[in-house]
Amino acid sequence: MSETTKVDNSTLDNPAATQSTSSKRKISTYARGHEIRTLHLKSPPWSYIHLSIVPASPTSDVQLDEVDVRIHLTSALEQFLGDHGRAVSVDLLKVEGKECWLRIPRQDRSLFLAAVGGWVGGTGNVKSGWVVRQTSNWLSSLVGTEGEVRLWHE
Amino acid sequence: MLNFPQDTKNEQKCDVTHGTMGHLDPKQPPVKRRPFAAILAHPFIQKVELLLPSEIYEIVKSNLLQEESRPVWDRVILPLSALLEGEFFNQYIKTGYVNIDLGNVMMLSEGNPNVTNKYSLREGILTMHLDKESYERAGIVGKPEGVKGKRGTKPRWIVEINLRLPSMLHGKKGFDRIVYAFRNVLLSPVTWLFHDLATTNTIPDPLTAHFPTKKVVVPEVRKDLKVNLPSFKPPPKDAQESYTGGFEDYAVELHEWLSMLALKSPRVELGDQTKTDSFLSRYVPPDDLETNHKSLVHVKWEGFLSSLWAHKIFVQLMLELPKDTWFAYIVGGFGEGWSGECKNSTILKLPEATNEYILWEVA
Repeated sequence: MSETTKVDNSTLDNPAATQSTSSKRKISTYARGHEIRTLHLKSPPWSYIHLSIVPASPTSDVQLDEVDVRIHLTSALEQFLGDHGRAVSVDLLKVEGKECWLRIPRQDRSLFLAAVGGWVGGTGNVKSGWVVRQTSNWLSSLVGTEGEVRLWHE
Repeated sequence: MLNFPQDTKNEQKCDVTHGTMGHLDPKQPPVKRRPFAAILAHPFIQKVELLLPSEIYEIVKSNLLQEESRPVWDRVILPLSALLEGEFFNQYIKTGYVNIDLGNVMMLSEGNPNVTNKYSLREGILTMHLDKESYERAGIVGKPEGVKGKRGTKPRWIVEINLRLPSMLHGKKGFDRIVYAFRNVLLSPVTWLFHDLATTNTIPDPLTAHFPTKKVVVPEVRKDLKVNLPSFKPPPKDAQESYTGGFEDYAVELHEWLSMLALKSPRVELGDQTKTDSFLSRYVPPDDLETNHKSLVHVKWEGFLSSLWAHKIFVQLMLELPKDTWFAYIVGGFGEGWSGECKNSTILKLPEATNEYILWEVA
């Protein structure tokens, strides 16, 4: 009995012995392939939103830039929530033509969508509104569905 | 402040896996193990993207982007009843029961699975997402879909029929009921995406009678993308106390960065004007050292693709690219569920580590 414990201690104390066993194990698991670590993410820090602007008169052509989007969104949030709305942090990831892709804190998502959906504004005489194309907590889902319509119609 | 729901119970989750792929046998590539299984788990694929360093792009170009290796699919307008008629039924659906290589097709119809009737066919199984009225009039047995509640209030139904079963033959009672439903209730023609998975082509092709539009998937290549490359350090393996938090941040940031590249966002490119303007964007790439300037290539395939094809390309990449390089492979499905979000998988092969990978599965 005492002998076996002695043997265990010796392998622990002898680094060469442990190394040889672990390297052996490494070879066999390397050949098979295995998972080192898994993680299940439920609540990421951000939400992502794909918006496009729709002018009231379909003939007018809108070309957005970053500053336009920022001004329109701030005005929407302010109309809906006052100073509290101004505090919602919005990061513009991409702006192209009538479309824009944004990142906001996940907790503010419902609030942000309500503010944007109810907004009517625009520059000069042309009134316009936002249309929410897609929202997701994962940017890859937003990118993935983009262009799906083309498969059926182009 | 306002009582908006905060929980993410009904929203997409992400499973992150860090592992090693092990030895890859070209004759028998793994199918049941991550990350290979993650690709094959997609029923239909709409987009495949590849991000890799410019230096190794030539290898991909000469081996994978040749004209003869481009996947082909069709778009066709058909009523459901056409699926059960003549050669179409025999060749594309029934033959697969005997030999999967001779007759196997996958099809997906247009529509929003929450609003309109939507059908899909895969491995001989026809799945129909029906509204309540069509379901009751069709008279085929199915299961309720989505919202729970009493029978009378269930608005959506799902019907699954395995057309390869031996009982699915003209003249059999159950089968004739389906034919009746397709001829009298679900009769409007719909637009389908069609992909023939059979390895041998049959002549004459039963599809030609329906005048399909043939589509060839031409990869879209974006070259010389100048970015600040993250170091791609593998996450620490020791059981440190801060490891869980560290790995979570690592995974979220890296996944976001890869998705930003797929989005073609100017925020990840070098020389972005808004970088210093926190009024417009405060996005910062992961471990942004401002020193590791590299050039990338972004390849994108868009079309009605099969998971077998995506798996084959991934295996080829693993075999043909140098072992010490990194690359990212993104596979995206079709929008589904109440929110219209798509299932997608991102695989990052880590550099300087033996076949180590990080896999993100969003579902």
